[in-house]
Amino acid sequence: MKKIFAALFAAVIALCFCSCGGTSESSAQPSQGSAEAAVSAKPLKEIFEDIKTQVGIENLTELSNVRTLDRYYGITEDKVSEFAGGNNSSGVSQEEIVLIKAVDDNAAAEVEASLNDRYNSKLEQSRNYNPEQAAIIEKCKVQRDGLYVSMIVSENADRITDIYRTEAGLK
Amino acid sequence: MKRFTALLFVAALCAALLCGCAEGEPVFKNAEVPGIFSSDEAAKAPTSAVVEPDAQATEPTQAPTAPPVTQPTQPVTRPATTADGSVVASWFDDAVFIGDSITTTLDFLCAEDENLLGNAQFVCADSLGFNSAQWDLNDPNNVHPTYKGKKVLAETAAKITGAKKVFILLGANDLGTWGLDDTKTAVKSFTSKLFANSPNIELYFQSTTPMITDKESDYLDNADIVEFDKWLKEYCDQNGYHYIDLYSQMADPTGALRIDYCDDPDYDGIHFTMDACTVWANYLKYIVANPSGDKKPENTVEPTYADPYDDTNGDTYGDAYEEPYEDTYEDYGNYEGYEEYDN
Repeated sequence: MKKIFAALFAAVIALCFCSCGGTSESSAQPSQGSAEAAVSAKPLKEIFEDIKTQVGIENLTELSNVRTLDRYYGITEDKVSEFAGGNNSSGVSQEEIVLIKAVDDNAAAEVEASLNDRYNSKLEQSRNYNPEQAAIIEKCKVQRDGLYVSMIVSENADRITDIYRTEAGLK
Repeated sequence: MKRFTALLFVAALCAALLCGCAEGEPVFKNAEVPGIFSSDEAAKAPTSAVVEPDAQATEPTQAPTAPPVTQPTQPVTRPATTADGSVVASWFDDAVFIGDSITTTLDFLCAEDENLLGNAQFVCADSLGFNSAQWDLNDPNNVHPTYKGKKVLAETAAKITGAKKVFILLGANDLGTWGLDDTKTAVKSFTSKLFANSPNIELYFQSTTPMITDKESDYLDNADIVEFDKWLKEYCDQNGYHYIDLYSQMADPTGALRIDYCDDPDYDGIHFTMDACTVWANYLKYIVANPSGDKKPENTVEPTYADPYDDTNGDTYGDAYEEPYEDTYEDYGNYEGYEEYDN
């Protein structure tokens, strides 16, 4: 009897240890901000360079300093893990690309809200001033995928979005 | 008995080490086996089975911090003005710029270079004017600027930024739409609201700036702008505000915007290039230190003239070189060697 109990106890111990090693499969399930996205994601700055090269974007003043995110969008640096992007510096084109990886889900939600405010402001300012640019803005949007939040306003938005989502592992 | 129990325990441990905690698929899945960890908790529990091999996994989750600043061993004295009599860029640290799309380019430039206007802040929007700045914040047609992502009334710019000096460049979006008289009225009411929000500011009105000749129209031309600027200067003199003649700084000898300063020759013909904004910033640093100066300071940036071969200038290529190519093409038929190909 004692032997049986000892064997059962050992089996239970073995099973308990087995259960702690099963995370790789569950984390491989696709989910927002998952390890699977991190495995295949390029750094945002590299993605942005690829976008500029492949799409041929010029005349962008790049977001070189994380403090500029606060300046333009009210996004403080404590919310940001990575960022890349830029604004067209002319007073006419509304082209603006902002790619942000937030530090956590709460921060990502706040970043998304901030970029939506910016998007709506661009649209309001352009409607009467520059209807052509307003039409471009209306076809674009702010998008969130887990910790990744993007605002891609460009006449080449579809292509830029495709490059970004592919290289960030969001597809 | 004890030996048997111990052997069983060791065997169980070995089995667990081989199949449970190693990377890769476990023998038993969380969902199937009740254990200490549920599947959700197991996903959150830090284990070596979580795979993050790429570079991003090593990056800190917090935003990167600036490198530590080395404190100087002796106090650094900054001169009030530089050798040419201009103020240093940090003079603008307590300044805010209120403007339209012309100022947004200056904003972009200064965001990347603190050597221009220090930490000056900007509250500007593309269609902003003295009139539209006073519309309701939620007016369906509003074009209000944003400050740190939030829509604000321009009249609160000094209040929300804490600025002591306010620089205004507006008017281009007023004169054509509302006319001179309504624009004058809007200037007065906007100024009143600005001081109501921030009574102790130092106010600098920058003259509305010129446009290139090709884009003058019945809607707006340089004569309208000059007339408004003349009134604006009188208004400033009467009320003790600073007036900065930016128009003359950016104009060519004919009074139009210098073509090499114009970023949109095929659109409004009124927006500045980044080089022109550098000229603007350097002029401001000079003129605030020398308000009576009537000499244009030498441009510190060599203006970049439009390259007619540069396609990013739109039709410049065709406009500048259409005729020579036509003539060349017509003469091409008389080219001695061409007959060979004709046959």
